[in-house]
Amino acid sequence: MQFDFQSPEPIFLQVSNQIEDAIFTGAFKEGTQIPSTTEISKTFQINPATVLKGMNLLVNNNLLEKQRGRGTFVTYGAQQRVINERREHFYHDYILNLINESKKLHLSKDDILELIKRGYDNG
Amino acid sequence: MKELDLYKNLIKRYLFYLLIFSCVFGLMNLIFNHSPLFSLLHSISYYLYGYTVALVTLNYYLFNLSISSGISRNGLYRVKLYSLSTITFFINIFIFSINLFSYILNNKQTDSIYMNLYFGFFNNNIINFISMFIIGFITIFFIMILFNTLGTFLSLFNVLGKIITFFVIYAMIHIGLISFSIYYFVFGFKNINLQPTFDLITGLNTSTAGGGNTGNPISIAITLILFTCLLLFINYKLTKKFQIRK
Amino acid sequence: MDKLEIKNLNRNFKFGKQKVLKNINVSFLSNKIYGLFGENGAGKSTLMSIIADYNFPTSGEVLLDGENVHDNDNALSKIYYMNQNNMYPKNEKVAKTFKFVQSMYEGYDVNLQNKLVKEFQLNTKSRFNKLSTGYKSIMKIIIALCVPCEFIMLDEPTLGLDARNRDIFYRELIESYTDHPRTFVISTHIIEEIDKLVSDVVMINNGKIILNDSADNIRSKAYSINGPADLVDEYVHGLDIIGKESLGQYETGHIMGRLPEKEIPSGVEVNKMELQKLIVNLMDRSEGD
Repeated sequence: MQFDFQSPEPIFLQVSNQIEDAIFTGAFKEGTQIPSTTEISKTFQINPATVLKGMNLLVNNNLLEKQRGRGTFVTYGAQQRVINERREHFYHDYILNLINESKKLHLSKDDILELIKRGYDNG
Repeated sequence: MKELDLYKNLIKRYLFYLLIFSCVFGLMNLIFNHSPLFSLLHSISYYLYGYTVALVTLNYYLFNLSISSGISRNGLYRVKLYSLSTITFFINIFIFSINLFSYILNNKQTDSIYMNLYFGFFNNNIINFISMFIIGFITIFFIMILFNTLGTFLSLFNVLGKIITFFVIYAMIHIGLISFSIYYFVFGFKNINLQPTFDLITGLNTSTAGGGNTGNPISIAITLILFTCLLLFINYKLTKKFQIRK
Repeated sequence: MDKLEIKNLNRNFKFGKQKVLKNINVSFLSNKIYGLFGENGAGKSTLMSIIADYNFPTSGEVLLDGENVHDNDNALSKIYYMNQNNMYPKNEKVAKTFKFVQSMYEGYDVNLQNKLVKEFQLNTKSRFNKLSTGYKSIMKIIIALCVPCEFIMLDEPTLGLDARNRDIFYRELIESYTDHPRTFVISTHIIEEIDKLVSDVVMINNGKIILNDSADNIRSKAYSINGPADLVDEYVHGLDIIGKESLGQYETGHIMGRLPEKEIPSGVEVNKMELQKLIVNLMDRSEGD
């Protein structure tokens, strides 16, 4: 996990994003245990309550589950859920921005499609 | 309970060092002075006095220990009183025993001040001994509280303050003595008769129940108790003033 | 404990009418980690020593769950102050002092103490005055983490500690805090070490409290705006500007508060201001007071 504490995002949000990333990439596999609140807060010297807040976000989104006496685990199907959600956001985060930017540069829709094709051809 | 533990800690330390102290000085006296048993024990008792008195003035150190352990100044005062009472008790027993044995074995001859001044006031010798024990306790306790109060007072100052205070008191005593002498010798202050006051306080020079020329120990006991109470009050007020110096 | 309140606290200097602490009003709540920041001589240590009843205020009071702390054995047993003075006998071996503190505090965590002694590699047979500055701090830290008190104040705990031991300290602090939640108040100059660790920030300058807020709140409204001087000036106009830096035509404006509704002009960057920078700026600003 990497943190950029310069980022304008609140720390608890960064914590949940980092864990979510790890679930997305498969670094934290489904059904396996993730580091505890204490471990994460010790490693990065973040207030435990903040870490807990970040984790609870993911628990609420059904990506993590707490097993009493055993720890926090990645739920089954979590990875797929993250992928689905990110696909949804992809449109908002990337596509709309792309279109906005292209308008500033006076590129037409066909220009964009050409550029996309070029991108794929070049690997 | 915290105070109890601090008290136990202090007493244990005190007794431990007392033992070492006594053995060392006892041995030294034995080797260098070849003192007979009783004078040896007597000299040990003086050392005990001196050591205890010195110890009893270490107040800032005690305050540090207590406040850092969550004991309030009230608690510190209580611990001081219990500790001083216990220490007084030990010393009193020691000195009383020495004098008792000296009395019995040396054919009624002792170095004890009490024995020379007050013994024989009561008809019954057992009561006399009990009285000696009690008066001994009161006297020693008074001395302990006196020095502890002085020590507490001085502990409130830093080094400079202590030096200044010392000189001020030193000067005051000398001025006091000089002015008293001037009044007495130069102006013939002899007319003011201090003798009755002296007799009232110490109980000496009065007629006694047991016959003979012994004084009334009850008078001196009351005087000492009154002074002790005053000192205890002052000690309490001073103890409450303690603060940590950076 | 529920909370420790400080009400209208004033403390004068020893001689003279100047005040070390001026009308301090602040509350410390349970189970939070407070960062107490301020320059040297700002009054942090004085405040902490008054809370622990080591020293007296000139006026005002300290209340623990409504009870005045002064001369209160019950309240004082719940407060522990790890300070720069040496409270324990200098000539005594560390092990003996540990034993003494153990006897003073029922519920003292001996297991944790032994674990920490090993972790820090503290030689308990050494006498206190023979320890280095760092190890003196370590001995005090160990005691502070093991006492069963609900309100722990740490005055410059990492003084003299090398990087390795500082790391161990923070890890153990977090672990102990997680195992036994209680309130910590940490006073330090090295702000960036604890700026993510603290849940709340209290800042003292010239004896007054100039900031008292949760870390999250502060982070959400402290920004550094940088870019061309004229654009930055226009953007920050009307906002609470707590500091400015210029480098040629470029300027950085530090502000506190919500960002304005208007769009960020291109060429201008908006970044979160680190706590460290925020505190330095706030201290500079109140210099004039």
